[in-house]
Amino acid sequence: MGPDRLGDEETVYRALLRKQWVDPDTHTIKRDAFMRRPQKDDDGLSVFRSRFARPEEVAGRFQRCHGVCELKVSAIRKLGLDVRPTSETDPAHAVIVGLPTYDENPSEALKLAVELAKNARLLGKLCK
Amino acid sequence: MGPAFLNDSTITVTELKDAAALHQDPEIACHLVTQPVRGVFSRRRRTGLGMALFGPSFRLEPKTSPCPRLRESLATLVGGLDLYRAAEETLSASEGEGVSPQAVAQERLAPAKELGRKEGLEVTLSRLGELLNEPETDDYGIARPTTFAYETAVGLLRKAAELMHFPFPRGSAAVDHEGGIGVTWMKGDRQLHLLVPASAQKQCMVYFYAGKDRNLDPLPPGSEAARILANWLERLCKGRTSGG
Repeated sequence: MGPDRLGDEETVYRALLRKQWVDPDTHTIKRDAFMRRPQKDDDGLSVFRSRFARPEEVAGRFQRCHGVCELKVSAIRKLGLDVRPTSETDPAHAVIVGLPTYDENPSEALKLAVELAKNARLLGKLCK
Repeated sequence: MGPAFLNDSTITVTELKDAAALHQDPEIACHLVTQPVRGVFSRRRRTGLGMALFGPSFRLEPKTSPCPRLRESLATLVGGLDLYRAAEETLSASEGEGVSPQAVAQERLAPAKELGRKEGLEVTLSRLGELLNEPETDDYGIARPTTFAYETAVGLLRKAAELMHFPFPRGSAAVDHEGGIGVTWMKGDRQLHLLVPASAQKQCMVYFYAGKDRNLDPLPPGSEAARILANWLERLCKGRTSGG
């Protein structure tokens, strides 16, 4: 049996690995935070389930993390995407699936990245 | 002086607005007007200035930038008011010489006008420059832009600014995972994204987003690219969402 499916009511965190992913004027998340890379994000865009990890723990998984943003699973699904857990050994980790890479479909990749960014809520800086 | 002085001359008010091009971007206007005015000018004077820039609804707000360039710009603008009045007086003393006070004011306000128009460009270029200080790589990928991406982005922004009739809007910059650069402009629900690839093997693109109205425009090599970018930036500033 695989890891449990995420409920619509759940929220997930996305680590902001670059300070440039937050607009310095509006302090909102930019679409850069949601661009799927061709190889590194092979199975999807990494997120972390708030049921299993606190924002500080998410930030702690990376060498440099400039903040964490939060998204509702229901909002992600409304965009035609899905969020799936990846393994039982790391129950906090999940991926947003359905996002094309920029090279695969630039228009769709940009549209979905903008929409995800608009739905993301910045939780505050967690600089290391 | 004060509000009465400004109300005396509608043309002066128009020229002042134009000088800062503030009517296009209230956020920049706030930056230009609030803190520097408090620090430098009397209450009577800044009330007059406020009316000139925003009309009766103007109010001083604490959010501002302490940027010396903006203070300089503001000082020049306020100087422009006096210059305009001086221009009127000069003209009345030498009537019939064919020089309108508007033309005199326009000429004297030119430096301030230029400064106001370029403030957004300078901020954006500065943010692009900061990317060069990033480490080569980080958890996400290549963190520092390639020379090609940086020089292409700077060149495009500078050329587009020269072609624009609107003040250049402030943009923010980010590096993609390959060392390319994305520049983003946000105006309410509208966004414009310039995508500059890491190398010449890929094409520069402009992506406009306004809800259901979206457009991805490839930028051809050469000067045409700057013209297309300038057009999209003007559409972003104007609030028009349709392409073409």
